[in-house]
Amino acid sequence: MVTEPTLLILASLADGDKHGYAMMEDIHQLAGVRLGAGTLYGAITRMEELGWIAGLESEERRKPYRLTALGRRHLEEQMSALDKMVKRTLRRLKPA
Amino acid sequence: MRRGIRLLAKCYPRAWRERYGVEFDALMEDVEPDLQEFTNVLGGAVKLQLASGTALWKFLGVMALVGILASVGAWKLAPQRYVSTAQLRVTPPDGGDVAKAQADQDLDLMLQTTLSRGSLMEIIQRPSLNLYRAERMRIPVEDVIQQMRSDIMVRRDREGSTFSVSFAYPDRLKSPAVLRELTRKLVEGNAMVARNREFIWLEAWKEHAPPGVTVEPAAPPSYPSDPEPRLSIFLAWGFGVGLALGVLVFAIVRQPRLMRQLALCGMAGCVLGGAASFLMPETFVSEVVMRITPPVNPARWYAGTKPESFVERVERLKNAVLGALKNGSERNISIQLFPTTSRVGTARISATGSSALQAQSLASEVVSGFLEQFITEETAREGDDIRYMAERRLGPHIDVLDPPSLPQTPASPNRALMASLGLLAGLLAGALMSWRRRPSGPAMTAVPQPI
Repeated sequence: MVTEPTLLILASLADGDKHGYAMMEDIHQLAGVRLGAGTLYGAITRMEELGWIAGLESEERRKPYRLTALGRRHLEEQMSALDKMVKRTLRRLKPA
Repeated sequence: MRRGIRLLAKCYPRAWRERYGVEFDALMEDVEPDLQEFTNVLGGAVKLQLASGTALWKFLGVMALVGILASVGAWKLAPQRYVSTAQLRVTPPDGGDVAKAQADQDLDLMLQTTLSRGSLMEIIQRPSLNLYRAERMRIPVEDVIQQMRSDIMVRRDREGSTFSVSFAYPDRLKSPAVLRELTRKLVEGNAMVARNREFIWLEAWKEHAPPGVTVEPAAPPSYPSDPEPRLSIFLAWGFGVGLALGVLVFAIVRQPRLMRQLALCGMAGCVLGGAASFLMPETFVSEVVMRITPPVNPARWYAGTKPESFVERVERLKNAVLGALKNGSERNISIQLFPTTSRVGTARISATGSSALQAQSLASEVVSGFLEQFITEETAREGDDIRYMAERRLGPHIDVLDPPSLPQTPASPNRALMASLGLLAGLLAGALMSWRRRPSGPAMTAVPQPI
């Protein structure tokens, strides 16, 4: 189970823009992980500084976030590495 | 809870709140307010405060405030004790320094007798008082007596004309009741000492004893109104602990890897130290307290001679007693001397054994040895001088204040100490390893850390 908050947020934003609470719900459905508000906004702060996500115009006090090109590339790299590791591990698990 | 979480949200750094405050507050309205969310928001506030370069002193100030608030809660939960105090007046007899020294000696004897194991146990078990009931079911009797001794405080003023006795106990009415008993025992002890002295002088020297010290109540036991410990003590502790925790949290957030390594090494050391203590053989210690007093003689008997001091007498008796022990048991005996005056004092004998019974029987053997040796010496000296004949009639001057105890728990190995030493060694080893592995160049910070 992936529990890294930054990766979970990037994965959640991969299919469209979302605000904080929507991200929390989506991550819960996607990975079964319940992110706390403190953890979520700590990660959002850092990721925005790194340029992986960008805030959009607020909608009734709730600000949606969008994945940037840099963030998408980082997510693809991480998922690709994860995919390779999963495939190798599954091959090891197959009976000889 | 929701209100508390909203309040916590205000603790985030100002710059951060200006950027994210509105949307974070909106999120707070959506999330389920529970303890997990509360601690998560609190952790986020602490981490962001520290990561945003908040000065150490500012963070420490907040932690000290939290510590003070927590200490108020702890004070409410802490067991309250009521301290009652009584005062006794001491009037030494006329007769200069010699009389004053005799008065001090008598007072010490009275206090030792009043605070002896038997005397305190009698008070503890008295049905009308029934003290330390919960403790007596939980811990050994020896420890209960020791606790009572620590709850009693005797203070003497500088001139020596009065001394106060205090007793602290959770029951507001029992505290002065116990103190009444203690003062009664002291005053009665004083009268008994005077009676004994008179009897001895009449018996031995056919004359009245010189006047001794007088002890009488000066102020009855006070009825305490406010319980202890005082809130101010808790506040001071809360402040100190808050500051210490602040430094620790600051270090954990700023140096998480180092602190994790230190914690792991410390825990490993603690476990190793604790495990090593279980491999060591257990030893039990039985203790005896004896009081040794000189014979009561008119001063004229000592004209021109130097009476044997307390230390000289015990050392001489000790050598004879320990020399008579078999199988090298003398190595398991230690004797501490507490001279009150040059001729009076108490001796604490500690006997060590691999079992509680072995330790107790060795202590009993040593006490019997002291008493036998004393009587043998006195009998042998009878023919020397007429004054020894008179002394002999007064009986031995060794009183066993606390008979050999039966230890309930082993005295060594000290598992808590060994685990603490292991913890310390682990922390040192962890610090040394981190220092040796420190990077030589600038650290890479591009990789995002989990938040």
